[in-house]
Amino acid sequence: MEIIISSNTSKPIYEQITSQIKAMIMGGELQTGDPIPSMRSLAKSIHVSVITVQKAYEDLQRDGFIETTVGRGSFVSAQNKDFYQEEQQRRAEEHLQEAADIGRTSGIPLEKLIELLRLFYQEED
Amino acid sequence: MKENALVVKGLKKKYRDFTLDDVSFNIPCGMIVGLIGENGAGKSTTINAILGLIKKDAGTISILGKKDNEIDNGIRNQIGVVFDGSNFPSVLSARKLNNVLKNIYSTWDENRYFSLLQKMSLPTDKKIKEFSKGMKMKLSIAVALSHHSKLLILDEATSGLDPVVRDDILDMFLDFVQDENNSILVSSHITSDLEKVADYIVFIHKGKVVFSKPKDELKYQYGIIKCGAAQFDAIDKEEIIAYRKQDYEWEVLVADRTAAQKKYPKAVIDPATIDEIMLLYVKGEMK
Amino acid sequence: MKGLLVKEFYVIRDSLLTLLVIFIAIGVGLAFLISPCVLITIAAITLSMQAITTIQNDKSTQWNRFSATLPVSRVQVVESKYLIYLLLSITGIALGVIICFIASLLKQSFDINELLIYFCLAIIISLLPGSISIPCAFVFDQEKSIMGTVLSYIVTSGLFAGLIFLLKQFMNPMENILAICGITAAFSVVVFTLSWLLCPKRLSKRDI
Repeated sequence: MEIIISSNTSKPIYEQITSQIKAMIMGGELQTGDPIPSMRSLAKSIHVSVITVQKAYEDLQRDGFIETTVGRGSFVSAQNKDFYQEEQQRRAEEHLQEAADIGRTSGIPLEKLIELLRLFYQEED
Repeated sequence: MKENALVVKGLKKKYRDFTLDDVSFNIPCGMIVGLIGENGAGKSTTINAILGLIKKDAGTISILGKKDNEIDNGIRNQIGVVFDGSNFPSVLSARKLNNVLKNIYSTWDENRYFSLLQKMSLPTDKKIKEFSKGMKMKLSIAVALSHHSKLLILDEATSGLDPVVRDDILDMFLDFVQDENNSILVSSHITSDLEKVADYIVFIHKGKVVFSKPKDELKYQYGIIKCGAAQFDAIDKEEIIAYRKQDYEWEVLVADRTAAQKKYPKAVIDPATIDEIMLLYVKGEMK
Repeated sequence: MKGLLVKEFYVIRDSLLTLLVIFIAIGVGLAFLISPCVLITIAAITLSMQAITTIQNDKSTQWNRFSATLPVSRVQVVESKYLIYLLLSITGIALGVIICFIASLLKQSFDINELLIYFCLAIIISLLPGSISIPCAFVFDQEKSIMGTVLSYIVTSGLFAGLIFLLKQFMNPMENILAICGITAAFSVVVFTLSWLLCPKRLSKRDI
């Protein structure tokens, strides 16, 4: 499992951790039941405070991506991936709806919006 | 299970020309707390008071759940201490030191000690006075890790060591807190070391605690705005923690660089190192 | 406590060679001049003084700072110095007695009286100064504590000489010299014990 933390982006560290782990789970790199490194060993490996990793793990647990049991560690949860996917799609739709409305009312051409979307999408890779 | 490995509350100690005034901070279990401050700021005095080497004028110290007079030899068995400079009689060898300490610590683990010596490539039968500075420090750390300590207290343990040795030692610290019952208090001038391993940073200046903050907050959220006089006036004074006028620019410390960048998109805002934060507090003006 | 004694043993063992040289140089010389039994006194002084040097050694290696964090009470650390001092004095006296005995056998003359007198003198000259120099070594730095140690020997000798002088006024001390030495030796044991009982607690409360 590879997690890369950058101090240059404006994205908070715990978010970088959660989004990378989520991406690995959604992309199938991590299967349900696979173990995740303990908070402390991950903290040590990526040179981040355990407090931050703790926050990331709590978020992941709350969103149903991982389960942490005392004594056994953290594992990818058998959660409803599709439900979460749907939720995220709905969120994206809302934002896109907003962008489309703004574009329409202020005369920004559709192609420009598509170009921007492409730019933003690729930026995070 | 105890929540805090160490609680310092209202610590006061008065000397003729220096006073430790109302120092308070905690070390939650499983955490590494870095203590920073200038020379003479009160770091060693604080540590000495915690360890009972000096009598405090006021305040309470709780170690591993036991308070002040309750701190007994049972607790001391679980505290590993490393001081800067010399710790042991220099005519002893590592092996002789083992013979001494196994009759003092009831939790002394001889096997662990010798395996640590081997891991650190320390000679077992050479006199300590013939050790290099780095070797002496590694030996002190080996000792501190060989009696099942739950709390490590290190006073300037890494000063004077080369980066390679320091990296090894920092790694040992991180290994130590893999067990969340173990905690570390480390005071150091080498703030880059603390940036690597600390979970919290406590900044002591002129005998007072200036701040006690999570390291990641300082490292990833704090920022320094660099600007000219005109821009300086435009900055919302509420957001300024400290500022300093340099020859050609102003430096302003803010707590949230992302928010600041959004607010002042044209401004140059850099991440702040702990050193820079310290300098701004000490040499700069507070808001 | 045991660990502390082990440590003292290691530290003193190292200076044993120097001790031996002093012992031979001064002792053998004096033995021919005065009497082999003077070695009892010399041995008692040179050995017990090592306990004082360990107190200074602890300060210079900062072991005193580290040992305050050990699961040993500070009182015990101080008491261990008294114990070591006593053990070294006893060792020195025992060594001296044995050598005196052997030398007397070689010389084919054995004066039990002389042996006992030097035995008592050894107790006086090690325990009485010890009760002063041990606390001094804790309280003062290297220079001052050396002065304190030297002073304690001078004071002891002075007191003893003064005692003899006083007694000369109404008796011949030399007739009862053994009794006088014996009583003074007992007095020294009492003073040393008092120092052992009273000082550790006070000394352990000092800031390091």
